[in-house]
Amino acid sequence: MRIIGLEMAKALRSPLVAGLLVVFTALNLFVMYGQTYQREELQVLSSLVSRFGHDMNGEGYERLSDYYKSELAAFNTIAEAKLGRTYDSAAEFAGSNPQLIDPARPFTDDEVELTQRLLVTERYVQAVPELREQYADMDMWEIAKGMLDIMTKPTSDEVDRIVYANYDKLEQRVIALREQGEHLHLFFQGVVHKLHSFLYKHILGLMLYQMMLLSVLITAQIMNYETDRNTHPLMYATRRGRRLQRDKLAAALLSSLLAAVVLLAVNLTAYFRLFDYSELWQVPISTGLMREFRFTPYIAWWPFRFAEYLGAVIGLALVLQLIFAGLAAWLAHYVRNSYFVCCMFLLLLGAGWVVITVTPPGSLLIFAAYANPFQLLWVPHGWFMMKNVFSTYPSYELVTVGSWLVIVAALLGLARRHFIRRDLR
Amino acid sequence: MLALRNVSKYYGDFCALKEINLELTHGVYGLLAPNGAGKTTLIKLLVTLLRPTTGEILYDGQPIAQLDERYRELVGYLPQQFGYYKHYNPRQYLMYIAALKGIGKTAAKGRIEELLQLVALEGAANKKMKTFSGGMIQRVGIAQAMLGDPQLLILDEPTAGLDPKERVRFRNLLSELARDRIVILSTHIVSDVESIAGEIIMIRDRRILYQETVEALCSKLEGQVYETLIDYEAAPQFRRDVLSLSEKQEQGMLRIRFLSTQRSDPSWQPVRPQLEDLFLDVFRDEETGGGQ
Amino acid sequence: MRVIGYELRKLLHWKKLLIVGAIWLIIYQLFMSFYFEYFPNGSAVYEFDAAVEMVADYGPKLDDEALKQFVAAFEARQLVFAEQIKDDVRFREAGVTTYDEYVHHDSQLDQPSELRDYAQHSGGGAFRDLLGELYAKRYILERMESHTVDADWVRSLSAAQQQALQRIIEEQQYRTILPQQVMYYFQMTHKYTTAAILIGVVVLTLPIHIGDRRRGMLQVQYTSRLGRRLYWRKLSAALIGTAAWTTLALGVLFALLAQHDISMFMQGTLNSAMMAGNYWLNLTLAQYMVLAVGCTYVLAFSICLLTVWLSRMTESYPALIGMLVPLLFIVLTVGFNALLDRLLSLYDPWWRSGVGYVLLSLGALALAIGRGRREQRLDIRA
Repeated sequence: MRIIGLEMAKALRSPLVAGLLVVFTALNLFVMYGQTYQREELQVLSSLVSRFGHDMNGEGYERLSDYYKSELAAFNTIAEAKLGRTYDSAAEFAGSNPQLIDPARPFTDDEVELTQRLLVTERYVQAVPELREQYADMDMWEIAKGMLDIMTKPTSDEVDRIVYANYDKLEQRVIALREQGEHLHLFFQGVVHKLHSFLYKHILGLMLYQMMLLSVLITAQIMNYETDRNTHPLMYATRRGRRLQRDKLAAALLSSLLAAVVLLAVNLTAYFRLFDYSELWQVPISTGLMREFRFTPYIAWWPFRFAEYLGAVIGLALVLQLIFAGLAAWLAHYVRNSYFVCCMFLLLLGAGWVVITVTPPGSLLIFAAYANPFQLLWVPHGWFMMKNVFSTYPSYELVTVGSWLVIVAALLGLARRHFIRRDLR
Repeated sequence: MLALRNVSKYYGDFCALKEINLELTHGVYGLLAPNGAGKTTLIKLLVTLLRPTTGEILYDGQPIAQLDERYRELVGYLPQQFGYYKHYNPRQYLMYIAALKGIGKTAAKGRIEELLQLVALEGAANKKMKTFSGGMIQRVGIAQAMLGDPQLLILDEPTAGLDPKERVRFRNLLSELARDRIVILSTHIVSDVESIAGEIIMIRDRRILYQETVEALCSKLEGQVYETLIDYEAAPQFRRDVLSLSEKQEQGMLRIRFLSTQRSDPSWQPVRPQLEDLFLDVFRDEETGGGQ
Repeated sequence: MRVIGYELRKLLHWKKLLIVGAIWLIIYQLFMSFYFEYFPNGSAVYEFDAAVEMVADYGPKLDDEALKQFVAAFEARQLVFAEQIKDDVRFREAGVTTYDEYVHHDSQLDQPSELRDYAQHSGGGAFRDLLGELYAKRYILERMESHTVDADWVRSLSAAQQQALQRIIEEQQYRTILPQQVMYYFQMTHKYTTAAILIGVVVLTLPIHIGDRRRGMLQVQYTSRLGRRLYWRKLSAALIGTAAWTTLALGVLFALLAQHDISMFMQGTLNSAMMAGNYWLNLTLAQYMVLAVGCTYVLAFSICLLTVWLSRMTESYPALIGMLVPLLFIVLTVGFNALLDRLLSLYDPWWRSGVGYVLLSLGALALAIGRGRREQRLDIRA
């Protein structure tokens, strides 16, 4: 155990890891700050949720609706007094008064605030019934067909069959979702704020690459440490001998995880400090309000709450780091130069990305092509959800990381057997 | 003629060499000191890898800093652990070094063949250096040091890692090479320099302690070196009273060679002091700063 | 000279070239192949075809006389359409007899009408192509007739920007023919090629100093006659290698671009009515290509110099790579955005890209040369 700790120190003590963590955090913070201008409007939603809860099925929606009506009435009283007319909706008002300030009879600050709040509230009040309708009409089969039709390279019947079977399962899920009313919960409106993709694709997605770089560098450093410094004749002839390689592997995996955890902890804490989600942790992730484009809703396979979903994503992200570190360790076994290890890893990454473009969609292999960990890096905002036709099935994420964990373990096993036998010069 | 005038080298507050004054004319000079005494620092100063903090180094009256490449042209250097490209064979490696030394391509080819013969590596000339033994690598190192037919040949621990046969071969080679050059041989293996060095330079406490011929150095211990036979049991006690220089098994007893400032037993045979004896005497208390 | 040759051999070692080649292939397959396979793309096909026709008929620039002819030709085509739909029942029912009526037919409805659907999909797209052509030509015509800009937006511009905009309108710079698609075709493929080039430069150059240092070569190299001047030889080799790789990759790019004939648009200019943006300099496409190539070389050399500098500063490969990856990331994202995507764009201050390039190249040069100077005097302990 001590040995593993000492091996870990070899990488973690170097200024490299600390330096990168700082640089990455700075970059991430910069990206986060770019969106802080949205916070005022987000605050409005938070206050609505704290008053009415986020469940917009039935009673919840009615209360919100009533509140909206009373606010609109209040607004119209002001509008009448100051502008001489009333409006049917705040949007109507905003449409004809882009500046919200009539220089002739200006609104007071309070009134401006009321108007702005009203605008936001109205958006949500209108969105809910729209969603109700949209989800009622949602036909997964149509969606699948649509996506298969626009594909430039044709699929085959057997592939289609599997796709439709998967979307059938999705249909079942949507039915369940509808019954539970998961789709009608208040959340920061996706079409306006796009916070789901911001958090999961821009922030977490960026961190996935940052963690991957850390994992590869840390692993290369630990695995090649002895050969780099020419201490391998000494180290591998000790009592621990070649079992040291096992310790190094453990150290590399643990260090990668540790670095990943630190990065995630620091940055996610910063994120949730900057953006107040305090009322929304229990919101179902499949709420329709989260969707950012009209025809691509976020539909998760399971009834995750926001917090649970975040936990699942973080968990998957960490498992991915294990896979990446394991691959790097495997490469480091055969290629003792860290430079080439990194180059080879880069090629692996590229291959993992390219494989879907060269696999004919007519063959069943297309599913295997999509089930690689590098593909997961593209769509962290779609993990555990409906996404691409070839990656939409409940066990996609599990199958991908599960099979690759097995592959990496097998590769490492082979490497280890080779290591035990071979000459160490 | 190579001269060092009041050369000191400091790394921040740490002093590596203090006020070194040396004049070297021709022949083999042995640079003797234990590890960490400043040998390598002195060597690196001579080959321009380091610059002196104070003082200057002159070659034929001119500062080597000014002479720049004209000086380096005359220097052949074999570092303690010299670097090479393992996927090159010695010929390719020496061609690369020859290019760095400004030796023309055709001239280099000829010279390389000569040198490979000199160091007995013609057979392995086309094999990649990663297959070489330590001794073979060292011989390539000597060959590269000799590439430019240097006037000043500086070898840092050249026999470390060579087996006894290779060491003898090396010593013979060196005597031949030393004819019209200055050769500086830095080592802590006394037997390497004893037979071939014209003068020995000993460094202690970051300064030059001696710069004298082997005989002159040995005579410093005249009348103080003895040999005798003792029982094994008596040995520990014996060692407490004298400085043991070497010990050998002989007929079931211990033949011990030692240093003593007073003769206290007639059974002791006085013997001629050797350079190693002086080395051990001078550096025995290096850490505590004692000794002669 | 020989030494540069040796260093070049090490720099362009076949293993490294294979890796760089593989990286280029991956980038090609993931990002570039699309642009070559599907050109022109989607609805822009009609615009492209119309533009080809126009260049053939009127040349690269559309003076008033040519514009009149174009209008006349356009109206003739509208008549052809009217003739075609004359006998068609569906059109008659909808009361659509001319192209203009067709365009306005849907404008009062909430969703696209059945008629539109029919026109697009029926009869093997007989109407679709003609309609596509008409739409494209109308779009071109509108933009050729006058260069309109949103007044509010103009007010928000700086004086220099407003002046430049004025000039575009006064000099009728927009009366040239350069479809946006063609520009994208070049811009996108050029951008990804440059990305592949830069990554390749880093991969090739990064071991240049750190490799020898880790092998303990410095003690032998720096004590030779050439000595510390080896640094400049290495630098030269790095720049030569970079130039070679960049030229090769750009050569491949132009060879690939040639698979679609866009030569007729070479005299079209950036401020063409068919282009989406406005530019400070009304360069022709050919001139812009030359500029873009120049930019790629500047970027490649700058990255090369920075890599050489960093390679001398670090002792371990993971540390060096840990520094280079974020650097590359910044260059390929922020850098590309400011220096390539928005090169010459009127929406940014005119000096922005220029200053960016100057800072980057001079900075890299200063670092690499500064290091070289210090190298001549440094103590070499390891």
